[in-house]
Formats: sequence, structure tokens, C-alpha cells
Amino acid sequence: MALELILKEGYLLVHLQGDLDLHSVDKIRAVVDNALNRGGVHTLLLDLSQVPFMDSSGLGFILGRYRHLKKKGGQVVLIAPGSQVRRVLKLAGVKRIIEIYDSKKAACRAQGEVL
Amino acid sequence: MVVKNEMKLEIKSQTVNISFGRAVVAAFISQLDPIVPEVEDISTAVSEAITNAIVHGYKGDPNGIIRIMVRLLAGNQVEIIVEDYGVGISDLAAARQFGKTSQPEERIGIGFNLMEQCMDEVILGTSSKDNGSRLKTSGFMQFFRQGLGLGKKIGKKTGLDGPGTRVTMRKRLQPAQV
Repeated sequence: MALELILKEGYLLVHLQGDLDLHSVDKIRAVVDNALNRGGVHTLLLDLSQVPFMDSSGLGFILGRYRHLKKKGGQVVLIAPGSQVRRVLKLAGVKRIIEIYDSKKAACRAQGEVL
Repeated sequence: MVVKNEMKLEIKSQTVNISFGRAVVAAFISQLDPIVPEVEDISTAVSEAITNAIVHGYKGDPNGIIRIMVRLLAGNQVEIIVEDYGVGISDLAAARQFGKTSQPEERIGIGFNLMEQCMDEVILGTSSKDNGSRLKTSGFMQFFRQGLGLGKKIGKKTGLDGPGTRVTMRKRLQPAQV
């Protein structure tokens, strides 16, 4: 799993690459939480376009960040999940509480083109 | 039950092996020409079962053994068994509940629920309390079992010989397109 972070004006865009399961989430959680704890982040955008697989460990990571940011009035946004990831999100009911966009462009446009 | 082909795999209870386990199962069932959503659902269910064995069965001990068995049955059915020799599950009722988890981390207790939704049938057996519980029988398998008068077997004990947990999952695939 590789990841790339872009932080700009309270928006944290995380581009994930690889499977999101129990093996990878610990590393991702540490890196992302480190960026979130620097303060000032109100919106976390997770680019899932290159995540071919995700299970409940990945869901736990997403929902953990969602709860963290929601307490501060922030939000999590998901970008371009593939078919397997989208199905897991649907089965877990995540689509009802977290915005999902089909592309990074659409997500950024919805956030005011800051990124 | 006609077994057309089968495989067995043993892996250590290390998180790096989760993707290996689901990849092997996906490769093995490819001989049935499954459609992509079927492969994805089976991969999800297998990943959850292996993860549960590592997290709940062995409590993170990387030296446990997880055994994965896959049987290809007549009628385009797949049966997958994932078992460990860990501590077992003390409260099966809690384990099957959405949102319940014995782990303090961000384990959200949805693993069994995902398995149920991705497969036609999921049976959870544990020797911790020498009992077993049929989590859910739905879709084709419910119809199939009721038709054969097997509905009464729901709740039958499926305890293992030693400590541990066994998850048996079945799914009928769509007939291969010619």
C-alpha cells in the first residue's frame, strides 16, 4: 500500500494505492492521523480510485476518521471507489453518511476547487 | 454432495497472508468461470474470515495456523471453510451482531455481517463453548435446504475437536456462459 498526501487550506487529500485490509490499515492510519492531528483539517478526501480491494478493516479506518472529523464539524469524502469497494461501502450503509464522488475532479469541484 | 475439485491451504496468522489467502481462493474458483461480482464477494468473505481468525482466534499472535479449504461442488456451488485453532468465540450471539466487536481498535464488528451478505450461507462453529450456530441461511441455499427438508438442522451443533473457530461458507455461482 502506497499513499500520497496533499494538505491545503484545511483539506487533506489522501491518494491510496493498493488493498485496504488489516495488513495495510495500521500504516495508513498512523500517517493520516499524524496529518489530521497537525490541526486545521476539516475535510478528508480519500481517493480510492487505485484501491482494488477493501474489507471491514478498511471500513473501520474510514468510519474512524469520519467520527473524528464529525466531532469537529468536519467531513470525510470518498473518491472513485471501484466495484468491490463500492459494494462493501453499500453493504455497510456508508453511502448514507459519507459523500462519494465518481472522480477527483467532481469531488474537488464540490469542495470549491481548493485542491 | 459431489465434490468436483478441492484444495487446502495453511497459512500463519499473519496479516500479510490475508491477501495471499483470498487471492488463492479467487484463483482456484476461477475454473468455474465466475463473474466479477461473484469473485469480489467471495474474496471479501474470505478476507473477513481470515481476519477474524487472526484478530479474534489468535488475538494477534502471528504463529497460529489458519486452514483454508475450498470445495467445488456439483451445481456450480463453492464451499469455503476457514478454521483456526485459537481461543474460539465465547459469545456466538454477540459475534453475529452488527456493530459488536471484542476488539478495542477500529474493528467495527461488521465482518460476519459482510460474510453473510456476500455468501448464500454462513455457518459459524466454535469449540469455545462446545456449541455452534447457523448464522443465516438465505437465498438459494435456504430454498435448497428447505426443499430437502434440512431446515431442522439449523442450530445443529458444529463444535470442533479442539479450541478454535470454523467458518463454513457456501455460494452458488451463476451458470457459466457458453
